[in-house]
Amino acid sequence: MNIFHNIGHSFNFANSTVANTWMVWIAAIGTLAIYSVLYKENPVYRLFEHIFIGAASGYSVFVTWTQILKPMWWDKITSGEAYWVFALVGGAMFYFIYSKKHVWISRIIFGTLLGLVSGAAFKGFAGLNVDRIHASFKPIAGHGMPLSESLNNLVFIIVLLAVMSYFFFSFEHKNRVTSMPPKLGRWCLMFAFGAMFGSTVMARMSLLIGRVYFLLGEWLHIIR
Amino acid sequence: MYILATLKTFLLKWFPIFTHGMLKPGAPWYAWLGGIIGDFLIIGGILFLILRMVPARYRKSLIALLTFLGGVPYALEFFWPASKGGDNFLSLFVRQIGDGTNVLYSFALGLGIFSLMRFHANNLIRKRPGWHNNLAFFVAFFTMMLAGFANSVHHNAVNSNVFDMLFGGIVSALGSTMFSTIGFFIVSAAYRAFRIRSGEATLMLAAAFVVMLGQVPVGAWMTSGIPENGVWANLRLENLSYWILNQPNMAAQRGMYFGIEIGALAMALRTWLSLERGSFFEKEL
Amino acid sequence: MTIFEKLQHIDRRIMYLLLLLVIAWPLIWGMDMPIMVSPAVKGVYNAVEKMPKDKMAIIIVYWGSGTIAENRPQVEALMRHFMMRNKRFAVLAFDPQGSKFSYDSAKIISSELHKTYGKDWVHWGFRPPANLIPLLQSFPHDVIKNIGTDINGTPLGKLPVMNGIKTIKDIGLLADTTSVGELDYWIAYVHGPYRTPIVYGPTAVMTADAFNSLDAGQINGLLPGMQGAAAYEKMLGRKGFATKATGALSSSHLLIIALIILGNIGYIITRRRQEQQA
Repeated sequence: MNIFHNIGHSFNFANSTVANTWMVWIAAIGTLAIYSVLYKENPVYRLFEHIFIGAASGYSVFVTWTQILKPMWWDKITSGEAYWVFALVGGAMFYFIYSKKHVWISRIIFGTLLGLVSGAAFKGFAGLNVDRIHASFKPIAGHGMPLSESLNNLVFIIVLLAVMSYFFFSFEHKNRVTSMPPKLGRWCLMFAFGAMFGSTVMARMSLLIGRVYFLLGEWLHIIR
Repeated sequence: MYILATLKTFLLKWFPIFTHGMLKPGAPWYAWLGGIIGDFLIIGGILFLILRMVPARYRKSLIALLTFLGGVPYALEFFWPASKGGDNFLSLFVRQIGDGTNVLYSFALGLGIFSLMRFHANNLIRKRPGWHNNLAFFVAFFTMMLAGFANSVHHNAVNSNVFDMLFGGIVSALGSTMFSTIGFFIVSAAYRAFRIRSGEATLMLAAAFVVMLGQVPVGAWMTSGIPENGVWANLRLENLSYWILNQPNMAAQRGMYFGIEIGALAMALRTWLSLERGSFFEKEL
Repeated sequence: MTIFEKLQHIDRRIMYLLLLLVIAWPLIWGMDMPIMVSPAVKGVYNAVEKMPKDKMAIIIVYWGSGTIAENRPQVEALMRHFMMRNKRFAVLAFDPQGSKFSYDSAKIISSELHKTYGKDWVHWGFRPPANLIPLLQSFPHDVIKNIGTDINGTPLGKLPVMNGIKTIKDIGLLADTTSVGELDYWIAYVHGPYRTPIVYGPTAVMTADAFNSLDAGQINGLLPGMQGAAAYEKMLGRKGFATKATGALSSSHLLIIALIILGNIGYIITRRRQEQQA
């Protein structure tokens, strides 16, 4: 009886501690299964990869319905705003992508939405770049300006112009005068890429630390 | 706005037969479902028949026209002179587009799901090698979806805990683990590929080292002997790293982004005017 | 094969094991080092402090489980700061997973700081990311109408937290936490026309390009990945996950640098020998 009682208790999901213990164990087994690919490709990894894709897709369907389509489409129709039915007709047009004969119908809706976003590009360009262009006119000397600021602004102007000249393809950079700035621009770009790489390493390490933290902390409880 | 209101009145007068004319708020959900399907079949059917009548040689022009018309509201609203309040005749219309596209794009999310299901169902039905993985996909898909709906419809301790357990144990844990494997690969790739073969590579490596060290506490610890204030403080790794990011890197990024933004604007213009060429545009529809 | 050639061909599995060890070591035995707070992080803190109490902040969540270790500590630190200062905020998710993560985090912090959902904070739920541009054209003019309902399907107009919030002028701060880098849209369509202040919480990968917007004054501050969150936690006087992980971040960076140096030593010496032989 005791054994059955204990087994029953282990599946008592009304108790959040029991459910949490299950969650930690499922997550730990899944984590180790995914990491097994680091040794070599194997069927366990493939299985868990498919489980993840399935669960993530199922979750997306649930969220899309409960947080968008139900309150903003279904509830509107059922409260009398019948014209929302037209949205379903528009939405269904996407699915003609799977029909060889009528695929062009899907392009009507894709085209309209692409056009919509393209039309907003002009406003977006202005909103994004006016401040950036304005901020690019930095003084290199001025009354009471500290030397450090002057130097920083000088570095900024040289790097900006050099990098922009690197992307200037309207004529061939043949002579020394026209070939020097792009060359400097390439050096500046490499320097920036180095900085980007440094940040990328930090990003990737953070994600890994997150998982090791879970395994050692929430699962094995050996974190200080 | 007047045109839009007239169009709405016209469409509502003739089309959603079931949901507009026959059903009233408070009717059971299955009646609404039937009504929506009925209206969808009628409206969709009529639209499909009309579209089928469009001759093949005009289809491309029709798509190009609709692509152009799709972009008109936002573009015209931006370029048209505004009144004192900052609005013009299109402003009110433009603000209503987002509601409709919100729902439209949500229906489009199903495209990805449909493709996934088709792929896995094909493998499963044909019992291709690894079919048990495709089965696992479906089991995980429906389990997670049903757990979510069960928790949403009958919210109680069991449903809530089971949903959290599946979300935390599978979706969250496996997703973060998948992405974290890149951490291992980047170590291996950096070790193999980062060789100082040229001056540019050396410069790149130097910037990477300073940023890598300067952004984490060990960098600050390594140069903690340098005073925190004064000219020499610039040589502390955390300051040097911040300077690299905030000065030369920032200037280089701005140079790149000016190019990218102009390119993106040109691309948007080409898309809007259907000038883009490629396999899709060359084919007869 | 000489030792220098071997230095260039260390087995990847040995490197993986070393990486695991150097990450586990500080987590188990600790590696306390001072966390430095950069001006960019201070910018985020000051922007939250300066936000008027009659306005509302929006925390944008555009990340999922993939970058949870970087973005969740940022979001939690921001939520905690808003709640500590009794400032209202709403969460708007463009990722279905991020929607749940942020809702769960806010519930925990809110119960810890005795705050009430619907009165002190609200979660607007998930919205399709593809609709971001049309949404940004419409919601600044009528927040309640265009956002519609919260995560539980309750109309926003019924929630006390939304009292007095009508247009973008009632929004005091946008905090964009993302793994996608859609910041430019918020700048282009919201900050550009309406001058709403923005703070940015990207994954560290996107930190380098964010300095472009920081210099132009388009964002008030930025949290570079998990390290940014750790610095923010320090400013709030709290040791969260990000703070505990900084030791492992340091040790893993040292290992990568050491490996790159070892590989290069092998490369340079081998090349020199080959040149001499030639």
